[in-house]
Amino acid sequence: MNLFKLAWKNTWAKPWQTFLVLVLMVVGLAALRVTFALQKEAEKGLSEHISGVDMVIGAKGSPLQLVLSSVFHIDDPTGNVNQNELKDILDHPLIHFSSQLAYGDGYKGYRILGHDSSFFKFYPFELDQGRLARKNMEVVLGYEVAQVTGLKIGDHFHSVHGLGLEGKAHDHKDFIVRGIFRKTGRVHDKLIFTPLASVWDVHNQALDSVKYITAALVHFKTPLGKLQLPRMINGETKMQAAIPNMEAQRVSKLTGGGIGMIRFMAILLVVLSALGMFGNLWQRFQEREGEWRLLRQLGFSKKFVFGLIQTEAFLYFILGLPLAFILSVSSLSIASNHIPKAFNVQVLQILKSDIYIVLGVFLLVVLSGMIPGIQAYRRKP
Amino acid sequence: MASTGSQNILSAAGLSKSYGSNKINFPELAFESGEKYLVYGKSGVGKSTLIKILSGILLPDHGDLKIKGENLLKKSESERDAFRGKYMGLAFQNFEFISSLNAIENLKLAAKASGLTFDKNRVLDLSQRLSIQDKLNQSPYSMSFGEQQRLNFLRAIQHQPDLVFADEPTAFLDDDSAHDLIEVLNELTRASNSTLVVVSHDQRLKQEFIHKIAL
Repeated sequence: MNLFKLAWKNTWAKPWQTFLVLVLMVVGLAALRVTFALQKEAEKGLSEHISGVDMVIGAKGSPLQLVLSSVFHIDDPTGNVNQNELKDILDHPLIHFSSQLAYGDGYKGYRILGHDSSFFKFYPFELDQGRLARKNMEVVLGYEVAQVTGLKIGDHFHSVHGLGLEGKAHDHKDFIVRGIFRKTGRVHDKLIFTPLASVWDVHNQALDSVKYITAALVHFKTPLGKLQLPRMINGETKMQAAIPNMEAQRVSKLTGGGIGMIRFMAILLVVLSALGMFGNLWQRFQEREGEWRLLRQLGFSKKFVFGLIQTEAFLYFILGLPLAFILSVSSLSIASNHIPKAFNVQVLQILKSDIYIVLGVFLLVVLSGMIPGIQAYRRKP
Repeated sequence: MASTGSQNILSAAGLSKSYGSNKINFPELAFESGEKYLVYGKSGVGKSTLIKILSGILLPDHGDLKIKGENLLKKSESERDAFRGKYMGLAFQNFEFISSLNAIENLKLAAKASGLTFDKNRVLDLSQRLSIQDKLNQSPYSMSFGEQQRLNFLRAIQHQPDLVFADEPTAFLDDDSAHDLIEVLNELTRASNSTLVVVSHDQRLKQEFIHKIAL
């Protein structure tokens, strides 16, 4: 019969009380951890996707929609813009490099992204198999597309109009798979990449004198570009310019409020559980007044008695933390299925905030056991 | 483990304790190992205080107290705790058990406090003599009062201490039960050559003891 075993028996002498405190603690800690994990993933996801894109140019509409559609690939485009008008802007001396994008079709729910060769200056992906597309109608698959559709190098397929699973098939033109990218952990795993001209080919616009594109990604030479060009484009052209960082901040603010509220509730739960834990320990301390005396009469030191109460408190820590971690991982796993595909939530990961959670809970546990522990320490046998 | 042969196990002189203006002076004591002593007196004369002083739970204001040749009053609190656990067995009137443990776990815990290995065979043997062998896996608080009392004595003597202090052991018992209990206590302490010190106001016990100290 050692200290730990005795503490364990005491802890479960009133199982429902212990269970309820543990539930509060586990739910609170898990929720807290989930908010930290989601915030981290959101921030990481935003910065990885923006990846050097200082400005996006597209059809007039919502700047957020333009950024979401052309950088995060999770919304419908705002429309198309005339390539000739766009070219004049893209030749501006403040622009270091740019990439033009064209959307329109999909395959089994995955978007086909038409782009020029500069696209890979923003996103230098590595090939897993095959090679990059060199000609029209050649494609390179994102990692998930290859995994889910089962398409292999050399396979042919037809796209359907629109981004859904059902749509008018463009069966007059075949796409051919030339390569598969390595896993990026970003939304790009869920895209099919093809030269810009493929999109025009499929839509029979190859011979049109005026060609349309969906958006252009821009990287400036200097920060001055960010000050001058957006104002000029928005004021003097039929197009709009959106700054991804600004839109990302807006998204962060929108989601941050929700995350903050959830975090506040989680902290409240953890504090409540700490109060419950203290209440439990204090009640047990008072109910077992005679037992503290008995332990001393039997020959146990007052340090043992203090240690017993602290161990009882510490058991909440030992039981609560792993359960909270398991619950948070399960919650993240479920959440990852309901979060926009742009954010690949890492379900199993150690967060920097975990250290603060562990230290915080440890402190709460020690404090909860401190008052009854000291009282028991001072009791005469 | 109790020592064999008749020798001084406890000596006390000039012990006194004050509670406010009420000062209690205790008589000189000299207990031999293996003997049985009755400390008697009316309620409120300081019997429980004396037993707490002799067991190192309470410090007197004045006096000397030697147990097994060691000056108990010069020891620190934790040293007195360890000394008590190792060499003494206490059976207080208002006995307690650890409510989350069953009877045998309570006995194991007490054995740990004494620093000795739990002797299961001895405990089973003693529990048989006390007629509680079938109750050892039960919670002490599910036992009858008499069974709890016997478990309390078993806990006090299981590690064969040099000194066994029993405080008002017959307080709620009829004549026959009181006599039987003292017989059992005598038998058990005799077997381990422990010195038995019973503190009581029960006049019936006077005939059970040769050595009697009045307070």
